[in-house]
Amino acid sequence: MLLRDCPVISKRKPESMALFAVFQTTFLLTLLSLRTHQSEVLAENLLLTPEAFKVSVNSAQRCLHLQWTVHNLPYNQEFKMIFQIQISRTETSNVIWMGNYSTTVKWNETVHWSWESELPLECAAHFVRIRSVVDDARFPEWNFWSSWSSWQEVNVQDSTGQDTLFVFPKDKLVEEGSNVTICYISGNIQNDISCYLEGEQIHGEQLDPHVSTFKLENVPFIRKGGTNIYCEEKQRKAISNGTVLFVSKVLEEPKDFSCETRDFKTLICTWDPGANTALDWSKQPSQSYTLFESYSGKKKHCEEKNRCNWQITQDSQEIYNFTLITENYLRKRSVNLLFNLTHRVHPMSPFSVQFENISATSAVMTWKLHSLGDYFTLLCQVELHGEGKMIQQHNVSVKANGKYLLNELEPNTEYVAQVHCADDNHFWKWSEWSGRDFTTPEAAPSEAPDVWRTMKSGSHNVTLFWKPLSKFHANGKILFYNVAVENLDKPSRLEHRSIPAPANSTELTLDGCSYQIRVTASNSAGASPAAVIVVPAAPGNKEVEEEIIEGTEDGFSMSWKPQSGDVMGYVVEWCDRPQDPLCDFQWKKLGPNTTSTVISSDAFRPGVRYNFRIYELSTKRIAHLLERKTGYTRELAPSDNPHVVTNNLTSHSFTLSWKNYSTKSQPAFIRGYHVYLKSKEEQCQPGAEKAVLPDDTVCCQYKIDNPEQKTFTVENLKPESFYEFLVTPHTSFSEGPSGTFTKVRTPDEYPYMLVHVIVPVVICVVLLVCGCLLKSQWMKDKCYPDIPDPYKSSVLSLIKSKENPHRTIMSISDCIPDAIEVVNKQEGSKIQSLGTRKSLTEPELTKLSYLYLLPTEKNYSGPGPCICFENYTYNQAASDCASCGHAPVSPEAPPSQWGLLTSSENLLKALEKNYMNSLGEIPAGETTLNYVSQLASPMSGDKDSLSTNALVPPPCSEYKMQMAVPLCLASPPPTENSDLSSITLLGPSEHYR
Amino acid sequence: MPTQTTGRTLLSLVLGLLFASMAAMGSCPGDFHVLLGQLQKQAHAMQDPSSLLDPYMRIQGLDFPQLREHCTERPGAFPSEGALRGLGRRGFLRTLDATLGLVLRRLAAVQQQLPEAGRLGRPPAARPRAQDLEMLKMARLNILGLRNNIFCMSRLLGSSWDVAEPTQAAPGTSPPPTPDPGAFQRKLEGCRFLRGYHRVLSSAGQVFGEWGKSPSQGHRHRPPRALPEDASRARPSRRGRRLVPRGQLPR
Repeated sequence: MLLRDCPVISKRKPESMALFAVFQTTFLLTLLSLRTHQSEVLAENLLLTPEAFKVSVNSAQRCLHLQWTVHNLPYNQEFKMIFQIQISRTETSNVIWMGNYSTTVKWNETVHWSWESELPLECAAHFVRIRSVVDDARFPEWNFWSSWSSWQEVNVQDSTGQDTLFVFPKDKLVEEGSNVTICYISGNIQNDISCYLEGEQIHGEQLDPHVSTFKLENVPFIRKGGTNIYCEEKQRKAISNGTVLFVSKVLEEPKDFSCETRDFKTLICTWDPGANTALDWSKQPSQSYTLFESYSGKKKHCEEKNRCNWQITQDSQEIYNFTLITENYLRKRSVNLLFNLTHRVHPMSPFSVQFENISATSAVMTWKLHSLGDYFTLLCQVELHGEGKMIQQHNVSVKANGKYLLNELEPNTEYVAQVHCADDNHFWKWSEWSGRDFTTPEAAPSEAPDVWRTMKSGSHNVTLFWKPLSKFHANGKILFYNVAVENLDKPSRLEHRSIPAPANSTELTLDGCSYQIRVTASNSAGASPAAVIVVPAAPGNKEVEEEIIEGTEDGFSMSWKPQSGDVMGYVVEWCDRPQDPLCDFQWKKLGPNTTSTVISSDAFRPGVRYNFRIYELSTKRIAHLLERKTGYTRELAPSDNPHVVTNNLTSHSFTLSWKNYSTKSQPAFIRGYHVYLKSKEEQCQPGAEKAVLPDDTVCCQYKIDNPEQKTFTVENLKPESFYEFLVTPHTSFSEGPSGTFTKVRTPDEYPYMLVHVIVPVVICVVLLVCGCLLKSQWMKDKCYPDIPDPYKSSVLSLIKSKENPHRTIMSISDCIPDAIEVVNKQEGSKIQSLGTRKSLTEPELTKLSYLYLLPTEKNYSGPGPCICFENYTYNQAASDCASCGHAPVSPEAPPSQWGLLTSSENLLKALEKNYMNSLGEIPAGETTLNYVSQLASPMSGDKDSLSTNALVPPPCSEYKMQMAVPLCLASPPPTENSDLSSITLLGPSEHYR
Repeated sequence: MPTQTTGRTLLSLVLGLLFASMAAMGSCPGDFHVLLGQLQKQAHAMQDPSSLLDPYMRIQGLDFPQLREHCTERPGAFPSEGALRGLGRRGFLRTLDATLGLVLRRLAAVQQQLPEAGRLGRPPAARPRAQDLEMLKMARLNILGLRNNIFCMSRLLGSSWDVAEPTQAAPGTSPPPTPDPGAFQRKLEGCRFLRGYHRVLSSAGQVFGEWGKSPSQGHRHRPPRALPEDASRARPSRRGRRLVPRGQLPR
């Protein structure tokens, strides 16, 4: 096979080879047919055999160079001949290639031919032989093959008997993507050998017992240092040998080849060289670049890899045809460029850029250019930049020096103006920019500051606020703000105040008059137009209902209804940080035709309540509050629960109070409260619902939908029970945190009774006692007057005078009762007698008076016989006492209502013993109130039966000591529960003792 | 790991430049221990294969386990540690200087064979190679710095030493011209040479360490004649016995 690296004399294509085979067959047949006729010239055939056949080797290029001559050709004649060549490897019989080479030869001329082997020639011995035939129509008699030459052996590496391993080819240079065959020759080494390419084993085929070959296809570029291939003996584990395959990158065609001139003296050609194909170990240097101009025939080797300068001669050459040639050891490439020199002018950048006549709004820019000749006109582009962006762009046609007036500039602004130029006739490239910066001077502010005010209610303090003017309107640095205050109600001097910048507010204290306030901003060049605001004498802000609005992350959208047609505009005011004391007051002014707006601010935060006031600004510049709005950009869940105080704790209820809880400072609108109550009771009270808490506990939930209701009474509780409660606010979408429940224990009822019953009773008693003490004399007179001395009685004198002068008054102690008169009277008359008891001083005094013994049964009501004692001396007193303290009592009345008498019974009982023991021994003076009855017959049956049958009046068969007790000593009617600490009421059993 | 390597290389570069500049200005440290400490540090830093051998192997494509295994010091190419210990101090310094001189020359030859991607633009794949080439440059500066300190130590020990004439191997020690063994063998030989270089520096570090332990050297600069035994070793009669490296980096 022939490769390009070998100095090839002839090449034959595969098609030619096929044709050759056909031709050869035909030729042989012809030869056989003619053999008889040509036998006579056979001897001459040998003469056409190539002679002086030699084979030389270029092992680096794997080439076999063959040379031979053909003798015996006619002198001075050329013959067209065909040479057939056979190449064998390892042994002559192993023909690996056979081909024909056609050429014209002369007598004794040496013919050369080369063949390149795929396999490095060192890997195996090669054998070559050749024969020829005359292929010339002029000499058909010569048209037969000569004899073969003898085999020529080519043996580059003789490793026979060596103990060294060889790897071939050595340091081969190939291009990336090539196919390469390598081999190793092991000589006498008997061990197994493994070969590696960049650390990875490669596998090949064995050519003979000592030679193995490896075909590497499409080899990649790995490094400049080459691709390492090495073999090692497995048993020894020693690197036996290796080789380096130097793979070069494919040489690229130069890209973007271009030439231009900047001064008509030099052409500068540039290109993109692509990858460097240089390799280490000097295997291949970087590719070279050469510039060739075809019209002038000049050539220049370029020092740099991406540019080359070409000197322009003064021979007025306008058209240039350049060829850029790049080459390395493996490849050569070129690109072409044809151009007119005048179309490749790249002007040099302008210089000496200056500014003249700089005013607040204009400036003149000038610049100079490098001359390109009188016939050249340049197009220059002027750009004006401000604040980092381009503001203006202008094109100017220039011959030598440029000039341009920059208009519409802003005062007090820094600008950068720059210019670049290009050939106006044949645009090729802009020059580099040249520029300078300049600053315009200040001008008076062009707009009045935006002014607003706040007024404290109930005072005449006005705080004026203004916003700093934008840079566009300030026209310079604002130095101070002027505030002029004019009284509109009475003529007075204007009050001026100058506030240095950057202050944005001032406070004015006004009286009750109307004022017009004018605010201007001033810089070094002058003052701005005035902002005017009027503060009326009476603000007259009516109460406006607050409306809840819903905000979003983008702000608050709100609208309002105009109230009057005489409107100059509207103002919306709010605080960006309402929780701060300074609140960061803000406002927004809107036109008269605007009835809605969106208020947005970077300061707005979720969970913060923002309050907005919308003012209507009249044409007289007076503001009237129109509407109030409040809302959140986003409501958040309440972060804390109210601090709850427990009041009015009773055994059946308690009251919860959280009056200090401010609903307005919460992160959402509080819609009400939830009261959670935990108890041992399974059922919830009416008004409560069962609720499951996050911890899965069940409790009762009371809902309060009024956020201003901050008390709640929990009722229908059980005494002496534990309850737990939690009050949490709720908003439209959530409620407060699930906090800690507070424990409450309801008290028992006894202390309640003590407080509510005993205390009033004691107070009453104390009051009664006090009253009695205060009226003691009166009470004594009324209830227990002094008992008259019988010896001083008028009766005594009467008896003495009428009956027996010797008669003496009998002492009671001397009197032994021996007879009892029992008067059985109807109940009706008895009651009547009680009810109609009269004073002993009345005329009936002489009649027998009876003190009725009452039956012991408390419920006695029926008629029956009663026992009466006659007592002349005491009748009147007892009667009096009854009249003052004892109201008529119906028989049906319960025993308690008989208190006075019952009490008397007790007293009598207390005295009964004395009587029984020493009856008759009691002096009359000491026993004036004691009357003793004798039990007629004890009651049969037990005491309980008596008690239970108390409502059945028994016959008057019982006697009992009885005493009349003054009313004042009687206890009040006992209640059911009264504690009988002072007076003991005896039970029925004691009565019968 | 690359960061550590770079940091260490940077440190050694700074040290190398510092010492080189000191020597260039003619200002050697006067304190034996200070100078010895610097020599120890330099030897310690430069014995690390990551300072020279590893970048060399990466550049040459030898950083594969099989090849790394076979990149061993060729016996006899450099003096052994025992041989270095056996030398007198000045002889040791001369030998070390000669070794470093040889390394410098071979290193320069290697660098000449390695074109940089520089002017044609450097593709991303070439960046690791550029870093390795930079490390070779730094290694060269480090060797220069160490040689200068060796010169200073030699002066401190009282030896006359013409620094302008770097120590050459004795005539006749150059290997005879041999047929080109091929790039692969030259790469491998360079690898073995550098392995020996790092080993020699390690041995030199050990020897310097022993100098520090020796109580006899715990003093400041001695006058030249204060070290008679070293002076005698530095005589021309001994020069012929000086050990020189025989290994080479591929040219």
